[in-house]
Amino acid sequence: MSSLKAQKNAIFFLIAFVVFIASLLTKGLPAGYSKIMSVTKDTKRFAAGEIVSGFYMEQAIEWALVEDYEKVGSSPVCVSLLLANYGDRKNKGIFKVSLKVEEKSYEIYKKAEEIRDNVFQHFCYEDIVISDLVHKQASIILEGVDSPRGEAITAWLTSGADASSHDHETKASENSLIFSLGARYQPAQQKIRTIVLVTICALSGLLLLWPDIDAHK
Amino acid sequence: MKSVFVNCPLSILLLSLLFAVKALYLAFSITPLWDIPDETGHFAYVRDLADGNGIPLLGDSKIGADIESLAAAGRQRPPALNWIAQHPPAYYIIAAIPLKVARSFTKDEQTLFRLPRIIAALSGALSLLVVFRILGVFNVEKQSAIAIASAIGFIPMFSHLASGTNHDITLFLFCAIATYYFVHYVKNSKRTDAYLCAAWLAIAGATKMTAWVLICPMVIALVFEFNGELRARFRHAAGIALTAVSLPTVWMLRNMFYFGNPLYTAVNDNEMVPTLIEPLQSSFTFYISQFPILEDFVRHFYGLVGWAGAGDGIRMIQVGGWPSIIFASAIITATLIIAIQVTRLSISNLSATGPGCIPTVLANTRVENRSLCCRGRWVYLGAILLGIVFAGLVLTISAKHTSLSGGMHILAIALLVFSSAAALPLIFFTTNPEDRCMFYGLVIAAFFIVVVLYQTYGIYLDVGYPRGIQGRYFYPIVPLLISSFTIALSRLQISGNLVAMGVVLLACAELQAFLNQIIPFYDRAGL
Repeated sequence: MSSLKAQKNAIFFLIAFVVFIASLLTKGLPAGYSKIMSVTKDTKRFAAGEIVSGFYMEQAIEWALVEDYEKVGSSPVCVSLLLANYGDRKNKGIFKVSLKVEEKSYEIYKKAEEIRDNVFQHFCYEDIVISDLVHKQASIILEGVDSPRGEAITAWLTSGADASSHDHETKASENSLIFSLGARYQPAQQKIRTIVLVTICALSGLLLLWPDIDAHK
Repeated sequence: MKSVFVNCPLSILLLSLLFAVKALYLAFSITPLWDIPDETGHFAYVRDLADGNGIPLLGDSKIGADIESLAAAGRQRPPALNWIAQHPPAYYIIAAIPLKVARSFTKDEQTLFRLPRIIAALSGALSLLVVFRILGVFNVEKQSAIAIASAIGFIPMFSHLASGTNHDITLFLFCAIATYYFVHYVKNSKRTDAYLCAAWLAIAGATKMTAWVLICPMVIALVFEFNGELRARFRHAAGIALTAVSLPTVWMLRNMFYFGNPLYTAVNDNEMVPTLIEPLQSSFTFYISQFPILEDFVRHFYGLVGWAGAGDGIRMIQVGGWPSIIFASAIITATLIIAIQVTRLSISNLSATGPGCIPTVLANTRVENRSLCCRGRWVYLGAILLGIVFAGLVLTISAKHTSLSGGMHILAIALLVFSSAAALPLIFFTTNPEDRCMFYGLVIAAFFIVVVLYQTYGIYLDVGYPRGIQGRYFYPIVPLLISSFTIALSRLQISGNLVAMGVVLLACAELQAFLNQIIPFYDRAGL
């Protein structure tokens, strides 16, 4: 390949790469998640059943379990639930995950089809930060909205954890959602990580498109 | 491999260096401790050797309470049985060196736990150079060779494993070196190369038992390539076979001595891997059709990241989204190019007359036989038809794919199956050594894939669920497959610039996978 063509390729690559990086990071750097409490005692776990219309489960948050939270006090609250989709079944409809803090409720609606099997799913509430939540009477509510039976997701439950739940008829249950409570945060080293990896990728791209770089010494 | 660095273009040296920088940066700044598959066990093995405790024994060997507790986010845990002690020690001996040396300089546990990761990072960087050297044996455009050799470094799983304590990347390196001598031997018939290939196969076999599956077909191919006097052929065949199996035999004898079974692994130990009281009776086709086995092998080859770094058991993420589509497109393109070239050669041999259709094994001894030549034509036709049938079976049996990329994986496997079947008779009837290298690569890879698939099927029957569906198990055959692809590519005269652009796409896909999938997974894993 001629040197001129290689140089043109390299310049074209650099322009395209800048556009690619810009589009990759349009939503900002991906956020991290820092937990402040969790109920993940999942040695005995079982499915909650399909989260169809009428399904309701309220999970009280026991503040005795809370860990160090001051460093993320001003960050948005996130709830992370272990959900499942019945072995990658195609599910339909939506469900709701609410965070009830005293009398106020924060709601997130989610499409069932977006849920991956046996993965912790994050629900972040932009309107409430950790310091506004901690030590207040709070609970997580998982509700079915309109998923039809046979096409709904489920949540994993555990028993014997230091937390309890109840259904919409306030029937108390020994079972608990497998969940954690935390904050969305930007890891301090995220910018450096991004710069290092982007630089390595850009240099690799240049070398691939301009392999005769040593011919110009 | 004294010539690995000599006369290498600056660009491939720099690409290899960039890979080393990336892997080391991931190892020390990004990949959480114990987030590499089985890393607690690998590290415990390395530490046993660095402590001077000798090679650990499966069933007795323990992962220390300190490692177990760290992997459980600081909660106190007792020592656990180390299932990784099932592996031969070559990699661990090497990885123990930096740990042993570093102990003289630091007592910081976090640093010491990560130090053996250096070996995988350096093995990965060296692998790129060795693969480039393999491609240098063939008449390949320099830009294509550089791009293809560095492409493996843009597979997220390869980079991920290169950033951790594990033997898979070092195994890749050893198998790549064995492949380098293999293709050299097929091309130049220098007997030293055959012995060096056998020696590196033995070293690979002393690194991981998976490499044993490679030894058998590769040695047969080496022996098949011999020419000259019959007695000398037998003598060297024995020499090469004994060299290749030497170190694996030592490991088998050890297993015989301690367990009474030369192939004993953790799967045979009910305490480490609980098995069903009554094994399942399902058929192989049921196993392949009921579970997305084939597509998951490919998917996990591209990216199945994570392990126990979160501290709450095993958590992993499959790399998905458009990076996985780019990868699936790349392997479909590669397997299609191979299939086209194999078909072209089959068709040209079908219509060939004269020396082109004399079996090489006979050509070597200067015997010409027209009747064999005519029969050979039916063999080509039969192999092509068989290839079509096998590929059709793969497509129909494994149709239970769950995504676009999954379907693309199945298609790529079907193309590979077709090419491997069609390539088998061509080995016997082709005089061009480069073409034979391509066919050997395909046939050996097919043998390896079938054996690994069948092994996982056996495990499924015993434990009741698919286990060990890991793309990294195929690392021993990747250098061979890369060779086959590159030879086919050079025959079709595809521009190096186009190949480089394809690899640039893979690099960008990997960047996206790390920035938007893998690193957020690490950051969010503290559940």
